[in-house]
Amino acid sequence: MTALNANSKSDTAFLGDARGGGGAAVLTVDLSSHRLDLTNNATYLQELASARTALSTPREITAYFEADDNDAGILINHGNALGTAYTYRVFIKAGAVEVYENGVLLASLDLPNVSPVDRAYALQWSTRMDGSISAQSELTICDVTGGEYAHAFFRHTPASTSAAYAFNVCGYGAGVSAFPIAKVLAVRIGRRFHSSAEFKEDWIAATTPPTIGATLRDPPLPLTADVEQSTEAAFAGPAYLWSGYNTRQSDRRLVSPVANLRIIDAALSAGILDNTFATPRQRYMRAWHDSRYRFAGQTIVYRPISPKTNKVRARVSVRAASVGANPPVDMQFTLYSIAGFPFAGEAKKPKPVYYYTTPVSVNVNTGLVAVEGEWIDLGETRIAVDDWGCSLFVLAMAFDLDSGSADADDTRVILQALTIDPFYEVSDNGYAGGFDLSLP
Amino acid sequence: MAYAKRIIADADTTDPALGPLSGGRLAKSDRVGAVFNQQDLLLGHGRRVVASVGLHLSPRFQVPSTNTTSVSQTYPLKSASRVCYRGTFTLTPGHMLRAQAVWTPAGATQRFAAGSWVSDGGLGMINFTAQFSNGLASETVNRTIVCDVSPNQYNAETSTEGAMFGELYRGFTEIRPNDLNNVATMAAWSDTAVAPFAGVTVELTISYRGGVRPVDVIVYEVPVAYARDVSTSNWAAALYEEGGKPAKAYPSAYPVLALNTAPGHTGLGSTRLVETATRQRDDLGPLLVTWTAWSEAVQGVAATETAALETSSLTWTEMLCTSTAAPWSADAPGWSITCGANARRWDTSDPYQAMRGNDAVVPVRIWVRAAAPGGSTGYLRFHSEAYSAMGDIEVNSGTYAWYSQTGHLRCGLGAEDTATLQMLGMVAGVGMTLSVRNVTVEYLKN
Repeated sequence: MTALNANSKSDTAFLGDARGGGGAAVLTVDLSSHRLDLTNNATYLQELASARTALSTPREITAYFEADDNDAGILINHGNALGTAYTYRVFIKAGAVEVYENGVLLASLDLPNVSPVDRAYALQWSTRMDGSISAQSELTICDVTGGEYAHAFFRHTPASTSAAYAFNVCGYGAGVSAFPIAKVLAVRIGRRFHSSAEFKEDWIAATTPPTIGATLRDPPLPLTADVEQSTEAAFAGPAYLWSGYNTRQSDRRLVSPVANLRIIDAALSAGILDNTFATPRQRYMRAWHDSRYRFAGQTIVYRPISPKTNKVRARVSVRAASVGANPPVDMQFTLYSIAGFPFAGEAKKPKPVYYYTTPVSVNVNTGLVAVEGEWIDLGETRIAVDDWGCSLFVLAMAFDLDSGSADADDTRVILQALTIDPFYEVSDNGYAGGFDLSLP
Repeated sequence: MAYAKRIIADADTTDPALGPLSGGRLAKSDRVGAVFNQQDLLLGHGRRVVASVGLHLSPRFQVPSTNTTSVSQTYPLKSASRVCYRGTFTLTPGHMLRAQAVWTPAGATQRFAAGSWVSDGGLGMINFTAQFSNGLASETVNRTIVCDVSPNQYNAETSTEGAMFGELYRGFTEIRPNDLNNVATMAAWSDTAVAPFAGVTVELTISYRGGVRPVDVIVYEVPVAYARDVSTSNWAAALYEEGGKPAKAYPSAYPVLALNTAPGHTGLGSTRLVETATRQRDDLGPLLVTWTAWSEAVQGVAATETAALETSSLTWTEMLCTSTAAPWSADAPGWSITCGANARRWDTSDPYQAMRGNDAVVPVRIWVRAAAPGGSTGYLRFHSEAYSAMGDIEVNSGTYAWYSQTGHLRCGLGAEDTATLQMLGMVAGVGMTLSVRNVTVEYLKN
């Protein structure tokens, strides 16, 4: 019995996978739900009159293979025996991949790090409609050993196809212009568009997701309006159940970032901070939870809060260095969410309500010039929402908890980016959470 | 012409139990009513920020606090309108716009007199211009937030420690087409009646007059009301209740099929329910990035347009942080797009097959306002991982214009995951220049 393969999906028209060895004899075995093996012709694999792979748009073509800078030949083809007409063709030409539809070269992309020695590559050519007239294709190639990716994006007319065409792995017709089949390790043809992220999950490395405490929603399956029997006033069920489920899963679709701040290179020199907090002085105020921290006024954002969120998670990107002999000191950061901030010109209000992330202490020593910097995860905090349905967010920071040491005096930092993303997390038994901002 | 309308301001879904609608159970009509009701309330969840500009990590305002008499111009002209933001996006159905600002007291302006620049008085005005288009007509709305002016010498900032925090002002103004109390007008601007029913589009401009000291200026969507001509189709809400009237009486004690094929609106058709659920699933999504090249620290006071971000690189280079190891680096700064996980689609991010619950992608449309002067050709590409990219946007005109491209970007599983979007640019030949002023990244409607 053929074992299940995780890359055999509901849209898969053909899947052959010989990455575990066995060559063409294994590659020819169809691991898709069709279970229709290709014919093994030693130098090429073929299915005559291949209607299942007669796919125009949307479509996915994936190949896993080895190549050096001299290898050449047709890797995948769906066309007639003479090679004069074809739906699609993937051609390896001395270090580059060329993709064709209906006789037209659509894109050419170099194999990353190709050399005289065989390297393992994976490529995906994925196509979808963009509008009602044009197709949009994405060609992604991964150098599996080195981990480098190359991309090409191109727009074209959807291909015409014929169910009478043969599907070839290697060459066309009787294996004409075939790529060395011994170097082909896997091929998949799919009926839907696959993103490059899905390509990476399937063929390169599966992602290990982080621990998620937030309430996540699933994308619901499509349902056509005629799912029920078309008899007016007949008893109905699926339409109501599915629609009710769909509404629940769609209730957070509009939730957007609270803040996405970035500074450009040209402004970096103006943004160098030190522990005098005098650039200029009016910009910094002692923080409320700990006077060793200062609020940084240049990080203030005042943003609306969606009803379906009750927490935010924040990150800040920084560069830091020391202008003295010793490394920079540890720096401390926390993000505040404030409701009832005493804005000027307004009647006096009760004291503000605020929450803040658990302060993080980090040592960053990236340098200040021509560097990428480093991301600092500030963690999460509840959101304090005011009478306008908004919250004022501000970053508080400290240099070595305001030690005033010589090394702290020499430490410099630049804030490059600040991101604040909202989410919903069911509160605990009420001791810490209290009333949720909104129901789950 | 008959209309249906529902007020959705402050609407919030409550997730009614679905068990009574499942197989083998005796479903009652009140369950049906609850499902219809939730579809309407779902539109009330929108608070998308569609434009933002301000201090935004720059410690220094564009408008200084120095002597207003100077040899060269150091303050803006009183009459000049300086564009700091441009954006284009599709409005969420049933939503209008609200402009909101936090500022510190405005500074001075200057005029040129007798051979030097001198004070022309303090002034601060933030102007918003929005052009709404629904496929049949367009309407331009102008609104202004007037800022308080600093009473200090030179209209300077107060310079004592933390003074900014004691001088923070806030204000807002609604940006809406006129006469929305008229249900026909509300219907015209709630949604589009023209295929492909993508929604009302907006082109938005924010500009400053005078010595504005903006801390955070945003425009965001607020839910107002959703109204439709009952003869149209493809609604974004079922409109189960009309304009605050009592909920309709369902015609049967048990859920029945209502094909809604008869002319006119019944609001109770299962067909309409499924169509609306499909539209909400396909068309509602976040606005992930809204960015302007305007930087308070470096923007010149005399310029009336945003100083563009430029590149003349012949290889892909991240445009805001040129030190980024191309094409993408986890350590380098970028925009967060993890909110894309809230709007996943089954065909590219279903948790069982496509991404196996490990990750997610979001379909987006990216808008850039760019130019490539002097016969240049430039390209833009966006990466949220080395393997996840979209593009290429080709810019080949010397006149600033909007360019867009669609694609799928890896966005992680939510706010507790990480997804950093970086923008790369390059030019086609030596001596060419690519200039970018604005970027918007919005969910791509199906």
